[in-house]
Amino acid sequence: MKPTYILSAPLLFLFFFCYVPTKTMAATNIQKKTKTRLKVYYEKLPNSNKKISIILFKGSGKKMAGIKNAEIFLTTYNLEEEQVLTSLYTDANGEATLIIEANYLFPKDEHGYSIIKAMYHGADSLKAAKKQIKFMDLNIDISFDIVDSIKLITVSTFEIDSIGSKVPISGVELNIGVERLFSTLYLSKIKTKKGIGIMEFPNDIAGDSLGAINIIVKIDDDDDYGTITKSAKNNWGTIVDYSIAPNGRTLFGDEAPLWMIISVFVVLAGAWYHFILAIYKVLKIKKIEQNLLQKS
Amino acid sequence: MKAQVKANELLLENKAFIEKPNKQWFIRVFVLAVLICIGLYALVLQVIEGHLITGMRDNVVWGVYIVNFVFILGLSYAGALIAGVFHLARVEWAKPLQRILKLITVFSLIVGPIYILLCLGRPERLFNLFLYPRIQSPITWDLIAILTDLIFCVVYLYFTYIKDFALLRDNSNSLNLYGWRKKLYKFLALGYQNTPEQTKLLNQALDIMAAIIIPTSIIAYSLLAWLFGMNLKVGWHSAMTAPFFVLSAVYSGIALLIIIMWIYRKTQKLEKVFTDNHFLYLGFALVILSLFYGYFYFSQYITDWYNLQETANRLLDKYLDFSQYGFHFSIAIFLVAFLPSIIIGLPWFRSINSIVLTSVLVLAGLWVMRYLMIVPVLETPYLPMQDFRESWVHYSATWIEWSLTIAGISAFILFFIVASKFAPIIPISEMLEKKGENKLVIFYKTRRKLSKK
Repeated sequence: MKPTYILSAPLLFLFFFCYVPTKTMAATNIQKKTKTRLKVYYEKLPNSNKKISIILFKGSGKKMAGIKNAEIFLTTYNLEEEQVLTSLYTDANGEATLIIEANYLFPKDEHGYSIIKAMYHGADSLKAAKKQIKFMDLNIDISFDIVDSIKLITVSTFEIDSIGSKVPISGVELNIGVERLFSTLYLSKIKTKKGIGIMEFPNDIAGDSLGAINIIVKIDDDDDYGTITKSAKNNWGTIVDYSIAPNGRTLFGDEAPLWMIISVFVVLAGAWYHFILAIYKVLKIKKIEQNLLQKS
Repeated sequence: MKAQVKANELLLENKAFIEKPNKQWFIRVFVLAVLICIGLYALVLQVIEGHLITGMRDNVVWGVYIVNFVFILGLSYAGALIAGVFHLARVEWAKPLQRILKLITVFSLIVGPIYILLCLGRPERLFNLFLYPRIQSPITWDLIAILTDLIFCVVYLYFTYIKDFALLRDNSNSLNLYGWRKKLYKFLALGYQNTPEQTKLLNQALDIMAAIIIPTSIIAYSLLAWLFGMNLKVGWHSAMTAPFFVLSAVYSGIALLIIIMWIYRKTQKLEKVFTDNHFLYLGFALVILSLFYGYFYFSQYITDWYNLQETANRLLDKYLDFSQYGFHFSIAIFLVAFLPSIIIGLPWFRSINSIVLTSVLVLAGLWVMRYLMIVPVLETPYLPMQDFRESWVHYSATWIEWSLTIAGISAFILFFIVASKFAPIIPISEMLEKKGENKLVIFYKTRRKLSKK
């Protein structure tokens, strides 16, 4: 082996173990931390449980990506101090959800707002982030009345004060609809006066075989109240018998029409008969060969 | 006897292509196998992760897979239909094309239906289609049609091989073949000795198969068209759907036939078999079919254009809007409806290479037209999609779908490479039959004489 090769080996060793790590360390030192952002949503579910949804992410637009396995601290405020609610870990999409039972009352500030603050303390390559939301813990009640054959939906909006009594809230915009197979069919938008909103229910909404329908009342991403959904069932829908096909010629029924069964049978029988005939003719070729061999 | 001697000579002339494979052959097979393996890896990922890793979502439930399914099955039915018509009409010049057409049919029928299985979110429930078929469902029609057609076409292909298998059996000692291949030829030749009685029986069987293959192919592809046509969707729900499908199939089949013919002409030096006239005749067929295609397309869309149906107009807007599908639509319609008339129709540009290039472009254009028939329609339901994520509204295929598409094409090519190594790509025995030797037998005799003497 040439002496130059022998000398170059320790030099290469020095390069990799001294130069390369130094460069890598230098790169690490000057590496900028990535900015992170938090989004927090408050939602009241149909069963009155409260849902806090959090998304931790970096980047924006098409480059937006959730940060997984990050610990998010949730706190709330009363008039005097900050109260820790809990801490959550984000999933693979950077999302975390907290469900709070219906009977839990959030502390309120002097204006009646509850505050939730989400905090992420950051990591080696990620900056810390925090986000705070304010909302009022609004409640919705739905009742049904029939006055002079007119079906009325009455929606009341209220808050529960510290002694547990209902305080009506006015000026709340509500969407009223009916649950359908894929989404809600919205019927009307009403605004409450003195905590009460009334809507006349139409007579032509299809229900199931008993006329049962599910009425949905929803406040959608409101600045003050977040998202609130409340539902109630009644049998005001028109009765639809789904066992009868709407038109005799449609093919949704359980049994195929006779003409179709006969046509399919005739076509298949005709085709397969000729197919078997062709196979029979080809198999006879083999027989002819055997006869020829016997003769010879 | 003369024909038999000629057949032996022709076989021995081309023996290099059917004898033991060389290194180049194995390299080609290896490359194609690698591409198929990448597709299989993508398939495994899709089965594990679900359809979430494809571009298909709740609204656009069909994507590139169904485009491939429709396109490849079209090639298959076209192969069967053209081969059947050429055979029954005893078209002399088309005899060398018969085997390629039948191979296109069978290989497409094997590859195509795989794509419909890839569309299934729960493929393990497929057996329910066999256990609880509803005869009034277009899916059941399609299942019966594809299975029937596959069985018929495989058997028809085999029948057309019998004479050549006998030829290979008789010449096996002059060929450098593996022992198992010699035994297999003997078995597959079914004891065919070229006796007049055997020839008559085989020709009758071929005529019967050709006669049933033609309606079977038309019905099968029409049933596939009705799978779309029976949907209350703008762009699909039309009486034109089935005839348009059949026309597109024949068009794409002719284009593919020209390409494959050219490849074998170049690689196996078959200039005397696949002559310039073959390219010219099929090139003119392309021109006629392109004009028919343009006519059908115009008829279908001018009807939508002139009415005020809101959803139909939304769909047309997408085809004409260059920020949506306008670019794809303009290029594809130019390729399939106008290009053959310009390149092949006008004498200045007409040559073998230009006909082949046109065929390649037409085939690509027809695939894009299939894509435009499926994806934008699914993106345009009667009730507009609102409040959905972008990926749910607009379909975009992922690498999983593209790699499985490439795997399907590779499998198709691989089948051709293996088949042309197993037996000659030209039907030698059939080609050397004298004109008028194989008369069409009328199975069901007419009571009256067809013509007065």
